[in-house]
Amino acid sequence: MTPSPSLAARLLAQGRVALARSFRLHRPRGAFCHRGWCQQCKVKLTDGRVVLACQSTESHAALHRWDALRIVGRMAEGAVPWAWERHVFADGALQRTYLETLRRLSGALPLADNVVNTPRAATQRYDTDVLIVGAGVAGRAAAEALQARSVACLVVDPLPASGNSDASRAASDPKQYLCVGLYEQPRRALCVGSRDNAIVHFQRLVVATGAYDRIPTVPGNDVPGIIGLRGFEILARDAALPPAVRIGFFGHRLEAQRALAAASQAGVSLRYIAGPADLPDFGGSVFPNSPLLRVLGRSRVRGIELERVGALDCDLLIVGISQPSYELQAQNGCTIELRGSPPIVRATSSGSAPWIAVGEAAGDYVEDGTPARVREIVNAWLSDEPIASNHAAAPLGTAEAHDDAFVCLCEDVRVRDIRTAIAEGYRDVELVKRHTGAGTGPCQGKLCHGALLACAHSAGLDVRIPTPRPLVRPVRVAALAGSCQFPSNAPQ
Amino acid sequence: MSDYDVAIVGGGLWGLALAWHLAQGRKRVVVLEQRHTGSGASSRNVGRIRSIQLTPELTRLAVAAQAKHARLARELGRNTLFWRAGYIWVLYGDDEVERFRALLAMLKQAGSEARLLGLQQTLEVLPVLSGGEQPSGAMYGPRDAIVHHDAVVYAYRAACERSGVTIREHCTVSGIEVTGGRASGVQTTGGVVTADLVINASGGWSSHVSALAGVTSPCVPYRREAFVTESTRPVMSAAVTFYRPIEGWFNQTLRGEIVAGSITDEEAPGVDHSASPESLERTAALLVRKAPRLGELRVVRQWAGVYDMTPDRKPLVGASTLPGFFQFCGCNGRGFSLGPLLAELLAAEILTGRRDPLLDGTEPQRFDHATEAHVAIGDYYAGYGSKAAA
Repeated sequence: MTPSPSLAARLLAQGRVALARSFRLHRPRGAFCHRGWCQQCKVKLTDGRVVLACQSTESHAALHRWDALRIVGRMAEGAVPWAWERHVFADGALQRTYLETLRRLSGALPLADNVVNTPRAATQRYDTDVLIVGAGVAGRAAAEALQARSVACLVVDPLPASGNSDASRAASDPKQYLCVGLYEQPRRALCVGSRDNAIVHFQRLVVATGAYDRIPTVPGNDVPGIIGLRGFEILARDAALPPAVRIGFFGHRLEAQRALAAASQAGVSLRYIAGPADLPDFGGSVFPNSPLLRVLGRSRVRGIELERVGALDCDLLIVGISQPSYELQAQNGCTIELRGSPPIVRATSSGSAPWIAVGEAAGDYVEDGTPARVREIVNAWLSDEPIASNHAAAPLGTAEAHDDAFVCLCEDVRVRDIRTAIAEGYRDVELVKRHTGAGTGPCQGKLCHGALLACAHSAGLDVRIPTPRPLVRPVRVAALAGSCQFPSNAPQ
Repeated sequence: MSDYDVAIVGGGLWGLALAWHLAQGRKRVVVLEQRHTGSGASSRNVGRIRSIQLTPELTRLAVAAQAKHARLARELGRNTLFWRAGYIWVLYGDDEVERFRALLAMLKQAGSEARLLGLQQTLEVLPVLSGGEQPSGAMYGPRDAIVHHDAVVYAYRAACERSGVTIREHCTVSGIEVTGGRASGVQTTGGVVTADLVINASGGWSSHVSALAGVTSPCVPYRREAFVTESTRPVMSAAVTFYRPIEGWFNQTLRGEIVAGSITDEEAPGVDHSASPESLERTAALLVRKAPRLGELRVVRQWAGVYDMTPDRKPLVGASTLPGFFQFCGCNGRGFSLGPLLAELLAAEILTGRRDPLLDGTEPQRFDHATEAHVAIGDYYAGYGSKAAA
């Protein structure tokens, strides 16, 4: 299958990285993950529909201009909603005007006028022993290993089967659904497809949902043009990188190797890589052990500033800090811990349904070794043997999170807001989340939980993930409508 | 001498509001909360403050409760985002319209400003319904409101801390101390707390706490579910409720999200905070049917909360059969609107010994001689015994 580049990729090839503006501060934002996770590239199409540019194959969007709105955003930072409690009005015209102003200051996009909701086919029911979420290399390897031991399993993945080998495709036969939530009593998973939904009853769970990239908590970490390693791999695969673009890299060693491989595949080169001590050598400059101080640029990346090194130019900054996905494990009731620097959220092995994570979701990043390692893990799991942990990732040596850095991009929450909330007495992660809004936006904490928990941890709070709730990824109301039947409206 | 004058079990809206009013009267108060403040229904509701009720008693109470919410920001010194967005009960079928027409005189007499709208007026108030199932009319409370639940809870929490209330979080109540036939304190995971008066303000857990005190309770907790979408530009103000084909509701928050939920009568009783895919599909289908434009929005998360239901849909406010043990529960899904007012009234009763007439009919002991207290959650109208509506 020839991949067609996404709208975000097309626009990037034309040199456009700022695609959207943020909800509260009207800051320019662009696609970070290019995989539908980060929710920062929401654009309005010419027909009025609102889509994620990285998930759409349309060719045109009605993009924002933001210069004037940034001033509104700067004013809003002191008023909405962090400081709203200090503005006390009597119930009357002033309060009404204040609230109406708050409503209208939102950077959200308007609703389309001519919405057509396609009816959904009846919700499918499946019953299986092991539900495998994710049909990448690790998910398929897990399916094979389970089938080799005659364990019934069902694989779901939102992407069409890519099929590296016909044998593996036949063995795993993934259903094309996005698993959005796990539920208890009875134990089941809700999976959303393009035409219908599926409710899967399962006994055990294999999480093979991969990893995503985290944004370092430095000032300027929301500037368009910062791209996660995995997004960069997609852009490289789709040949969507402008030829003369200057690319910098900041992140861990294995991620740097992957970025170098992707760049050479796409015929572009990295100008420099920065990160921890053990960075790979290549044709360009290497800056080991140089903490990242800030990302430079206002409406697009202009460069980075490293401690002891100073400013380095770039047009795109690739960030390779891997965060294994943990939403399904968290919904399944696992506890979490923080590991590494910057801190990464790790699901620990407790939970309601028996589960394992494989591949990148388990923190294993060695592509070639993945199938063998997955077989090892699955076999150990089936035999009830302990599973050796393979968590590597040396500390990046970033400094303490900077006050100006964003923790939560969806809700425009800075490190400072988190620290202020904790100092004001919101001494519980759940209260901090509710008071600041961090983690309550469309990405549901994927970009921010690590940074949020790191702030909480350094302030002496218990490290707990805010209540994990379905959905894993936003889904249109009309797509969730399923095939519900209701009694008639006749007089009762 | 006891550690405290009053120990309140439950650090939600009801418990915190009562604690603050009692502290204003110079009582030494402790609030015991098993998780964090507001972790139950107080943070799981959507803060709709309506005056349209089906009985005169509830309407009078709701009108007074709304006035309390309107002055809350001034009392607590913090904006609670009290927004007079309006409340609209959308009716499908002429018989439903007639049922509400019969209620108009009662509502007016009880102080509600609610009025009946025809189809055209309904669509003017709620253009978002156009293209969806055509309503027959609507009951509209133009001055009804939506507040931000967390803003209210945190305003009370901050006010409590300023007034010297002790708030103990992550402290689970495991028993009620009884000395000489009188409640004398609370056993908790953090030790025994003695108090002259123990108040059960534990929301969905109220029947459990009553049982710890050996007091029979008519309250039954039921799960209610909701979801919230991503934000969009303002498309509607008034909070919508409908009862056909089944009971459901939706409204837009100040931040531009749409929150929505629906209710079936298949729900089993019990405290259950887990969401279900069935509720998600059901509510989504209702939303698309009523307001098709909203079908384009994406759902971000879903959650569940608990309604503490009583057989007559009225709360329990006041002394129980056990001396020194007061009930302050039975929210019936109106906890957020009624809480601040009821807290003020109960605190006044505790401080002065005089009971406000608005509390008539909320005496906890009214069920003590009932043969069987039955709570049916699905049939909304039937729960009121109101033939005008049913």
